[in-house]
Formats: sequence, C-alpha cells, structure tokens
Amino acid sequence: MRAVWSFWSAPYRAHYHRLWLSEKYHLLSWVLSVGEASQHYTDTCLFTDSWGARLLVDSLALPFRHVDLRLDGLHPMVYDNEWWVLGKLTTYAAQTTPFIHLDNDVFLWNPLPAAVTAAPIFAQNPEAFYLEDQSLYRLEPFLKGIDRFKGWLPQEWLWYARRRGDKALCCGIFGGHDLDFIRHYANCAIEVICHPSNQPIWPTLGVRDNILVEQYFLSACLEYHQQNQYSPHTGLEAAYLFRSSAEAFDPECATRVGYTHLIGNAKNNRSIADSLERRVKCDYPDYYDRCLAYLDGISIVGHGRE
Amino acid sequence: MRASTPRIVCFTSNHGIPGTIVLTSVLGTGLETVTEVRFSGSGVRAQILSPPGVDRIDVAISIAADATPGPRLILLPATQSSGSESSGVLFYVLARSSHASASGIGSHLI
Repeated sequence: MRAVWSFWSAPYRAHYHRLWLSEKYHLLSWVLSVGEASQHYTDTCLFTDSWGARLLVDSLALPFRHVDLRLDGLHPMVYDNEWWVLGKLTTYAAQTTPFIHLDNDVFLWNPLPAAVTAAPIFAQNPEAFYLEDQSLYRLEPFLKGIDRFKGWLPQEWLWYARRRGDKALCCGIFGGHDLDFIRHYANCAIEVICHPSNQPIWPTLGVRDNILVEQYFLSACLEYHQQNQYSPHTGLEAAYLFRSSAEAFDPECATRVGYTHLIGNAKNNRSIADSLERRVKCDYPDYYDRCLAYLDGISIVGHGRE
Repeated sequence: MRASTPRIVCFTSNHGIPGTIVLTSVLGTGLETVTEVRFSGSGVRAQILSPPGVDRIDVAISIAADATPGPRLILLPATQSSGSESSGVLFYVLARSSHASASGIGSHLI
C-alpha cells in the first residue's frame, strides 16, 4: 500500500504555522511521521507545491519515492488559503492506487491492522457530535449561510442534513481501495469550497470550517451511498483504526495499536515538543541536523529556531 | 499611514471547559491597534498578556465555573472604532464530557 502525505504550503505559511510551538517542531514532526511510516510502507509519496518540495525534499531530504507538485495548481491568488483542506482533498482525488494518507502529525509505530488497510475506505475513527454543541462541527451557521446566499451543496450533503446526520470521520489517517468513491467524495468536497455560489458565504462565517467539509461530508457521502440501492457504492462500509473518539484518546488503546496523532492543541504542548525533539535527535540524527541547518538558514530572514 | 482594520483568522486554541483559564493566541491581521478582547454572552473574559503584534495577540481566557457550554463570538473594540466588531470567529466553552485531551492521541509513545 502506498503511503501518501500532502503539504500545501500557502495556508501553512500564511496562517497555520502558528499552531505549532515553533517551526522546529513542525519539521521534526515531518521527520518522525515519514521516518516511522516508511518502515512499514516503502512506497512513499508526497503531494506538495514547489515551496513545499524545496523544504521537505531539497532541504530535509525526506525519503519520498515519488514527489508530485500538482498543489502548485492551488495558486493562492485563486484559491482561498484559509481552506487548508484543499491540499488534502486534491491529494485524495489524485490517487490511482490504494493508499493511506497520513497527516504530518501522525506517527505509525506499527503497521496498520490488515483489516483496516484492506477496506474500501478507512479512517482514524468515527466521531459523533451534538448538533447544538458546535464545538467542532459548526453545521448550523454553515447551512444558514448556504440558505441565505443560495449556495450550492451536493445531494449527499443535502440528504444528510435533512436527516440531521451527526457523525464524522476523523481523518488523521484516511485511505482505502475504493478509489472511485474517494475521487467522487473529494471532488464534491472541493466543489463545495470552490463553487462560485458559495464564495459570498465564507467571509460571513469567519473561520473556515475545514473539517466540516472534509470529515462531516465524508460521513454524509458514505451514509448516502450505503443506503442508495442505485448507487455504484451501495453497501459501502468504512473501517476504522479506533472504534470511537473515546477509544482513540485512551492511552492504552493508542499503545496497543501503536499510533500517535498530535491532534489540535498537542502541537503546542511544550512537554510533547521536548519528547519529539529527543526522539528525532536520537533515532534520526542526520535529519535532526538538517532541520537545525534549515532553521539556521531561515533565521537570517527573521524566523528563529524556537 | 492608517492601520488596517483588525481581522481575526483563528485561535491557536479555541476552546476550554468551565472553571479553567486558557492561554492562547488570537491570530489574524491588523491586530496591533486592538486594546481589548471581549466575548459575546456571559462567563468568558479575556486579558491581553502583552502588547499586541500585527498578527498575534496573546491572551488569557478565563472561563467561569458556571459558564454555559456553547460558542462565544469574539469582539474586538479597536482603538479608533466606536463600537465592538464581531469577527465571526468563535471560542467554544465545552461541556466537560466533550473536552478532548490537550495531549493528543498516543503522545506518550514518542
């Protein structure tokens, strides 16, 4: 199975680099993510843009077997760079062989279970949310914006919203064998973000709901096609590394599977950052040195190591 | 030269549970003129920790023990503005049961 990473640099450079404690830990996370997964999956592939390739391939020399620069097509003059998920969705849609996509803050200490990687679709875990809570998935203002501006949504989304679907798939890892379904889902999700009718909506919502489009819509797409006897994907079932969010966050379960995901605030956690640095320095000393050399280089233009 | 209108893009951490203080940064553009950060509703207050930068304000957000779970709009009364402006960006007070670990998944394995 091919292991795939994506890095659209424009959103990261403009906004989301600040989610990491510092740039150093972002680089170290790339080293550990690619280093560990490539021990289990030797066919490794990076989808990025030219800036990303200069960083990850030219400067850090991460061991990707293939590098695809199609994310250069997401030109920030055309594509809203607050939608970081466009880089992932474009990568999902481009796959031509069964694959596992890993976020760069995911570390696979073991190969994934065969029952997961053999599935037509798989993800990290299913998660349910309360529609009223809106802590993570802000569906209500999104739908109000669509309604107010006469925006566009695919039939799967409309169907799922009508039946008040409240599930999503956490995509720290995502992949599978059903490339037709994955391509359909990813292209529809891209269309939600890029459709001309939807452009007036996004500024009114403030922060872009990236995971709503990636993770909630994936659940909508899956459930819609599962129950539709006329769909070519009828009966489609997803497999999961963890059965629930609670199981994913249970340290014993994570240990048993051999899986780390520095989700959310973990990227800004000093203690975790120190562990990450110790691990990379010990297990990947050459890469560690390259990270520091790169940071020394950019410190001239105002970005320090820390 | 006029300062640009403050605009928020996101928080480095956008949620917390009642009875806690969240140290976070408000990220955006034109933030250097911001003198106060407030929230809609009740039970959530912010204190600016250091002089705001153009693209970042470090804040301590206090969530009252009796704060009702749910989203709060962040409001930015800028220096030259007469009223508060809503950014559209939300901070979430979570129910204790929905609070995800700040340690991520399996970080002890690193």
